[in-house]
Amino acid sequence: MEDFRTPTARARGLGAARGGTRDFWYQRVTSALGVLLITGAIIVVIDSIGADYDDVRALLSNPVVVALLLLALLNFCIHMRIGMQVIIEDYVHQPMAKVLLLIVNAGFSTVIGVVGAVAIIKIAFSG
Amino acid sequence: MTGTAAPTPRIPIAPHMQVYRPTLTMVMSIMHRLTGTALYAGTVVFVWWLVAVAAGRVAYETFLDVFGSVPGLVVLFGLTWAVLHHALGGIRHLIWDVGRAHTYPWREYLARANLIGSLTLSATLWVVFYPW
Ligand code: HEM
Repeated sequence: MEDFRTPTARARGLGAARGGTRDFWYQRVTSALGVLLITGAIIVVIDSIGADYDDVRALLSNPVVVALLLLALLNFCIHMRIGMQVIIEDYVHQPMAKVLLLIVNAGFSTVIGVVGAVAIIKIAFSG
Repeated sequence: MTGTAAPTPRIPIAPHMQVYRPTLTMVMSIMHRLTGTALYAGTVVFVWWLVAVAAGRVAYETFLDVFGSVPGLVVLFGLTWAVLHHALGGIRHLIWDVGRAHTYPWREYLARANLIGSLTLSATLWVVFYPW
C-alpha cells in the first residue's frame, strides 16, 4: 500500500517511549545547570549542620536560598524522571509493565517535586 | 536439525557481558547508573528534611534523631558520596558530549579523577563539617 508520509513523519514518535529528542536535550541542560544548583544546595545543607530549629527556619526563609532550592528541586525532578525513564527503557520490554513503570516514574518525580516545593514555600512565607 | 546441513559454527552472536574482563571505564559506567538510582531514592531524604522543617519542631527533632543515628549517618554519608560521584561523572559525560576525551589516555585519566575526586571530596567534607 502506498504510504504518502515523508520519511521524517514516519520516524517521528518511534523512540522507546514514543517520544522525541526533547528528553535527550533536557537531560544535558539539567546536567549542566545541575552542577551549579547542586553546589548551592550542598552549601545550604552544610550551613544547616548543628543549627537549632529557629536557625534552620531562618536559613530556609532567606529568599536566595528559597529560590535556589526551588530551582534545584525543579531541575533535578526533570533530570531524574528522564534518567529513570532511560533505565526503564533499557531493562523493561514488556509493553504493559514498561508503560506502568513510566507512569509511576513520572508520578514519583512530580509528587516529590511538588511536596518539596510546598514545604519550601510554606517555610518561606511563615518566617 | 536435518543432519544434512553443515554444522553451524558456534560463534558468539551478541556481546555477553560475562565474557568481558571488567575495565575501570566499564565499572564507572555502572556506578553512574547506580548512583543516579540511589539519588532518585535519596530525594525522599531531602524532601523529608524540608517537610520536617515546615511541619514544626517535633518533626524536625524526629528527622535529626533518625539521621543522627548510626544507620542514618551511613545513609547520609552514602548519599554524599553518591551525589559527588554522580555529579563529577555527569561533568565527564558533558565533556564527552562536546566530543572530548573519548580516547586513551584521557578517558582513563577522567575515570580515575572521577573516582578519586568523589572519595576524597566526600571524606574531606565529612571530616571538616561533621560536628565531631
Ligand atoms: C550536578 C549534578 C548532576 C549531574 C551533572 C548529572 C548528570 C547526569 C548525566 C549526564 C546523566 C546521563 C548519563 C547517560 O547519558 O548515560 C545522568 C543520569 C542520571 N541522573 Fe544525574 N546528574 C546530576 C545529579 C543527579 C541527581 C541529584 C539525581 C537524582 C535526584 C540524578 C539522577 C539521575 C538518574 C536516575 C540518571 C539515570 C542513570 C542512567 O541512565 O544510567 N542525577 N545524570
